Amino acid sequence: MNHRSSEYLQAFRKSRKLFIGTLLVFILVTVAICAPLLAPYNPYKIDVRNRLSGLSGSHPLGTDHLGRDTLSQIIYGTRTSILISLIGTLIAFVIGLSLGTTAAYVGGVIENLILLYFDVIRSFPAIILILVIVSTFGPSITTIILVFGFIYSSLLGRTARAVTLSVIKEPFMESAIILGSKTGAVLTRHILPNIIGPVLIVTGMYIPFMIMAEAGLSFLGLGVPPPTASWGSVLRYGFENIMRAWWLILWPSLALALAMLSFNLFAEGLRDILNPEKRGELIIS
Amino acid sequence: MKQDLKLLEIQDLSIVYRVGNRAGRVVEKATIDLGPGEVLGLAGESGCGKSTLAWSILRLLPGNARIVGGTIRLEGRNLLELPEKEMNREIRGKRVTMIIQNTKESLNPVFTVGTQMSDLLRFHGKEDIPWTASVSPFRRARINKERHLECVRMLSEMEIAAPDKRFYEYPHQFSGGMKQRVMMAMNFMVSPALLIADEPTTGLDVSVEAYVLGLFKNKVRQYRTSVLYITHNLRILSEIADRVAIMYAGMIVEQAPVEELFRAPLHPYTRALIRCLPEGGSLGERLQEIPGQVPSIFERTEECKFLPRCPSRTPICSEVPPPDRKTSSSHSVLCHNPLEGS
Amino acid sequence: MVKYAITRILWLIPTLLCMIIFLFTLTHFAPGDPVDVMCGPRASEETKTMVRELFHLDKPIHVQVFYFIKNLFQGNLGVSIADREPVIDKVMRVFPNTVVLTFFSMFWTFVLALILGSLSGIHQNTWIDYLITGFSFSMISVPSFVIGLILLLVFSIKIPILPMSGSGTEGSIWSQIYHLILPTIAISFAWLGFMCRTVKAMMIEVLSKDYVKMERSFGVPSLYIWGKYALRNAAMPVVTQLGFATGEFLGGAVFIEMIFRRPGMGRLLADSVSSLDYPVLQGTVFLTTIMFVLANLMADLSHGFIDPRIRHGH
Repeated sequence: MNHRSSEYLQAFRKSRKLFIGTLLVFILVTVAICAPLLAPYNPYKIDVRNRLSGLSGSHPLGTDHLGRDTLSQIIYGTRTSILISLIGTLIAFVIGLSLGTTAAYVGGVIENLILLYFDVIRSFPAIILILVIVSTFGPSITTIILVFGFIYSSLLGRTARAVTLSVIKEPFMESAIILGSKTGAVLTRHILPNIIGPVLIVTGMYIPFMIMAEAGLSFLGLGVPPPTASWGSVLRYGFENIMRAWWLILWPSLALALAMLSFNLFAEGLRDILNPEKRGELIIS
Repeated sequence: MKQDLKLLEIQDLSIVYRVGNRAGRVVEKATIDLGPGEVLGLAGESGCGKSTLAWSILRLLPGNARIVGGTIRLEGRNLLELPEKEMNREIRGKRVTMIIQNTKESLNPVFTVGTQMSDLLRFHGKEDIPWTASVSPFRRARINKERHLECVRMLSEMEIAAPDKRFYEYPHQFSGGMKQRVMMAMNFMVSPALLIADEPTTGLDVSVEAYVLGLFKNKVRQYRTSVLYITHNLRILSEIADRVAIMYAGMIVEQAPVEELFRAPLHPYTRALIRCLPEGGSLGERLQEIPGQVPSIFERTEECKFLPRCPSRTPICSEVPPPDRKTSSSHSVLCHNPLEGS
Repeated sequence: MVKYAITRILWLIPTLLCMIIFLFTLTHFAPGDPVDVMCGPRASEETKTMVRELFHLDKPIHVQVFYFIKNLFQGNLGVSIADREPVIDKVMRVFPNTVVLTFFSMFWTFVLALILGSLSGIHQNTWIDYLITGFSFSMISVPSFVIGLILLLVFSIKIPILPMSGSGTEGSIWSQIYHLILPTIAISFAWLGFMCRTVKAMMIEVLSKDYVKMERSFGVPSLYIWGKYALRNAAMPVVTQLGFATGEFLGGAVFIEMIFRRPGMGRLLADSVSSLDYPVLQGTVFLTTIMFVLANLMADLSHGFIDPRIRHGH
């Protein structure tokens, strides 16, 4: 195992993508956690006298239509995005992984039912499905996280199932079963380590989608309920005041793009290291 | 002068492959020549550089390869000095063509065989219209028809049944042997001066191989093409070649007329290769393997490359590179101690 | 191949059925009584009972589904709560707009991705490649509504050269195109980045194939190889990918239609969502999803059709 971990380390150091990605993600998460320390103002503080004021010394990124400081809203918005996307991804991961492996391992009617669940979800365009569900049940952080989790679990589950199926076919699985390993042990010690790589990669690719979806929902007014700060909401204020307050569009756009870029870099960098071919290429270069 | 009679003259060709920051010598000072209407076999194990040599004639080596020395003369012209455009227009597909090994994707899978063949006529056809020119629809229809007929004619000449139908079919609908015959059709259609065959029958069933080989021999004679036939299978060369060159670790170690080579090989490697064939030894004798491995392309030594595996080595072999000895006007060998001819 | 196509088409039916059931279950789990929503807070008990009967809301779900399907075949998708206009009319009026926007975007994404991706793949590791790849990667990180807003800001407001809203005057093709420019760029942006990378990877793979070496050995000019022989092979999976991305393009249309105030199904959907106009919501979602399912099906089948190897059953 030692040789392998040094390989990973080497690749990690050489991969610019992964390095920058990890760095940016780290910065984002730090901002999210330390929001109260970094934001100059309380993002919910309404100050109507200063509404829609442009960039200034006291409000470096401007204010919105209620006078709330944009910079603080952006900083606190990081919290919303990271929270929702990470927890949503976690839920999708747990549900998808368990359903997928169960489907592959148990087979039969259960597998077909699980596949049906996956297919029904996949037959809708994701954004529209999210829109419909959230609008039906009313927007709230919990609803949004749960919806994201369930919807994205379908693709993840399919991947998990596919990978599990390929692992089950391996000869070592047969020997494990013949030797009488219990189901629990088989799953954790044999299947899991082999599938965790690809599944994690796919999971990583969904985080940017969730960030985007949350912002999109908030933009439509169906996201986190105000006054919770969200990049999408700031964008909405910007859209409503587009003639006067360009800054309300620019800053959240940059924040969103940066957040998505960071996670994309991170996920791709991770994918490259976990892929033996690419890993070798990186080390040689 | 006798020199002018040679169609292809490769002199001291050296090719280097860059891998990472190392340079591997894949072809070293190779010298071979080919007369008009002659079939020269180029034999050697996998990885000895014969394919590289072949592709270098067409100057289609991969990006990390460099020709670092030597000349390749075709009909007197040094191909290495030709501008790329001329190379493409005059040499490739016109004076020199190639048949490659049969693989799943040796022909373009999404175009019909007919399209691929008639496209060649577009570039190297007899009308000599630049392919980018625009022609009237009537003329175009007539030209297309002519090309179609020509292609069908070639297909039937290669003994492909129902050539009219086959023209409109896709490569995956052809068997391996048929695909090779299609490629032969493509090659002979442009009547090249030099045809390079890079393992054309490798991978085919033995019976199909025999058939294709026979057809190939006939066509070569019919079109009076010179052939550089590359293979690792000496048996094929015994049937088809006039002369044979043996390649080892990027170097040409022996060159001789085919009969002489088999009868009285001078290089230990050649003899060992022949001994590998069941026919090479006597009945009941165990097949002889050649112990050891081919040296790495990155190795740089003064010693003979075959030294570690050579049964007739002497001290000088590890100090001085072997000289190229000419034992007769047509037989040369790269060795300090060539075997006695019998 | 034909067998496969038939199987897939037959699968449509249970899929659509599940979809309808799902939609129905959803709206009926919504908090609150749909009748209240439909009639407004001040309706009388009789009105409510009437509405309930009219829409079969008092019957069990499977009966409601049955009526829904029955109405479907009659082309009846219900009536809007807001203005009592038949849903089908509302949808049909705006449907062409969305279709035009979606397909126009997909077309340009395809063409540009092929051109830029090929350039990038052919000239690997040159400045062209680095430029295109760099841009592609950044582009995938920008969601459609974000880029839409920025485009709106820059090109319609700050430098007013492109229209802010609407879809142009009827009948004037130039006006329509003029109004399509910004929305198309917005929707295609992220996908262009994604597809460029796919095309580049495919191109690199194709250019290393045996048949390309064979074509080069015959002196086929590079332009011809790139433009015809290699491109056809590289573009095949891209077409399929694009087909599967139709849903995302449709989703993007929702936001873009709102931002650029274009009439379309996306806007209809968004409006019905905010006004909780359930019949319109159901109808729009239903039709959008049918479009999506059909697009997926066509993408799936087209892959088999375009590749002659699969077409002939290999």
